[in-house]
Amino acid sequence: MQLALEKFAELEVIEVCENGLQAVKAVNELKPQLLFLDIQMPKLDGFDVLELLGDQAPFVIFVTAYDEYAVQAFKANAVDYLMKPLDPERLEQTVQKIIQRIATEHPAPTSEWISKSVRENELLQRILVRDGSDVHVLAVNSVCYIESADDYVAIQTEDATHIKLDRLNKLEEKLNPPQFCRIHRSYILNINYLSRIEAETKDSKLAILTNGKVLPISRSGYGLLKKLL
Amino acid sequence: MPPFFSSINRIFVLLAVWSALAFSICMLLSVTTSVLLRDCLLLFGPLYFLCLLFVLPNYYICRGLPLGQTAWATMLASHMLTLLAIAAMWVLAGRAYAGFLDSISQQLLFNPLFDESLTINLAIVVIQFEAIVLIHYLYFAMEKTRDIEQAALQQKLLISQAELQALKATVHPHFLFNSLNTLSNIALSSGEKAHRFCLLIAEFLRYSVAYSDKSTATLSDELEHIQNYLGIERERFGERLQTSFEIDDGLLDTVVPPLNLFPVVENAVKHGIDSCLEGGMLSIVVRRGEETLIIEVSNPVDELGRKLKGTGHGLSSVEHRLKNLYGGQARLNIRRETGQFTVQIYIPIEKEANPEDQAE
Repeated sequence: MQLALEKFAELEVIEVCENGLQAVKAVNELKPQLLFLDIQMPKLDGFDVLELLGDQAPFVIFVTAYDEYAVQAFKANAVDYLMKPLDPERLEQTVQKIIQRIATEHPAPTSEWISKSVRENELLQRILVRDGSDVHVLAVNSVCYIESADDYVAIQTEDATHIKLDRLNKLEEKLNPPQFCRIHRSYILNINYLSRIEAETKDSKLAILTNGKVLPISRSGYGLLKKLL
Repeated sequence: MPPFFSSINRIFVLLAVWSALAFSICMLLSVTTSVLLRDCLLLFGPLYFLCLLFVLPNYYICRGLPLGQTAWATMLASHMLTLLAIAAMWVLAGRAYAGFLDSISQQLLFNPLFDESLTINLAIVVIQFEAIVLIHYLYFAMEKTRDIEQAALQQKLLISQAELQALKATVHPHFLFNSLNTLSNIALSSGEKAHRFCLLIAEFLRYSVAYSDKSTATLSDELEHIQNYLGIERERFGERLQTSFEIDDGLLDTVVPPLNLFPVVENAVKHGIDSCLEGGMLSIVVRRGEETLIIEVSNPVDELGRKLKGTGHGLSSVEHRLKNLYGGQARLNIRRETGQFTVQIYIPIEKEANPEDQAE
């Protein structure tokens, strides 16, 4: 890949990464204009990398050896992609096209179509969080609760709080319903961490977590919770 | 449904045979009693068909008292009773019919004829009854054999389906695409290395094709196949794929089913080693148990790694195949510990390799 790209005078290869984690770090630090991104990678695949980069994502050309689902998604969204092994002609066309786009456009946000067409109907098994160049992969089982704060969500695990640019509504859709419950406009609770429910006043209830933390429960949240328990 | 009524053809055959029988008996009777054949036919023709009607329903009795599952005494008693009842009914009906014929023809011919040939006719009723009972039991026996054959055929079909699946798993397009990509990368840097890589793939595919329709291989054949596969993957994974083999002495000639180990090892690479950022150690241990061969494949797995979309058939088809081949004597265990995945296969040890298969 690197050899093939070095033949283009318009391109300069500034970094080659072994895996998704390195890619997130490198994009964050080097701010490239163009990213050739493999889909199949351990730990973080190409789509995870884009999800983590969010607005920082540069123009992207996907590279894949064999992934019919991904290719279908690319075609449906007119996303640039290349198949491995690389065909020099195809590479030439794709690179020329993207160079024109880099000159005139801004990178289009990708997270929307990824969650719609690639990760469709997939329940979250893990939540990816980026802290600068560092990436944390949280198993959903280790998440106690998630709190919304403006455009961000705060994800509370047993031993740390992680901040992520995301919306509670979107997360709620992708979390397994019997385990996760929207107990309040601002809170999603992992009911495995629920210790007991206390009545504060006649109408308002409180959730006491196993670690002693107290969360408010709204009336509709209480209704949901009662159905689950 | 009684066998004779299951198709129009059978009913015709039965009627034809019965008519021929009735006709020849009537001929015999006419000779012995010197009554006209016409009169014999007039009297006994309908009566023999009546007998047939009486006798055929014993299908249900035969079905209720299957051979081999019923005590002889019960069977004998039931059939005797039925026979007695039929004979009695037949005699009564015969008398009435003979009387009726006499009254129409205004002579005393048919009743004496019936009485005179009663003994011989009773014998004929008994023979007819027994013949039909015999035919029914034969029919049941045939049906049973057919069921057994069908079950055996079904079983065979299942086995070959499992084998086909195993073969499909062997040449999974994913693997081919990845290998091709690796090859194209190698080809750019070193022609000689690319050549060696092609040899590995050829060797690998040759075994997959050659052994897909064989029933046995030796453990050393299987391990060589695995080594070829790992050789191919090592080019792709580099340092990330470490392997270790530990084989107890004297096991290499053990007979095993071919292409059974590969799906397990492929699974370990695809969902194990490839899930870990740094890769890890894939270890294969083969030990001798008591009359069993124990193959253990273990690999690290990253619980938080992205789960690849698998077909989910790999391990279950191996298990299915083992079950088809060895029944309860072989089994496949899966052990999950944090960060580690282990598959154990238990296969009964057969003493010698089948010389026929080796000569092929």
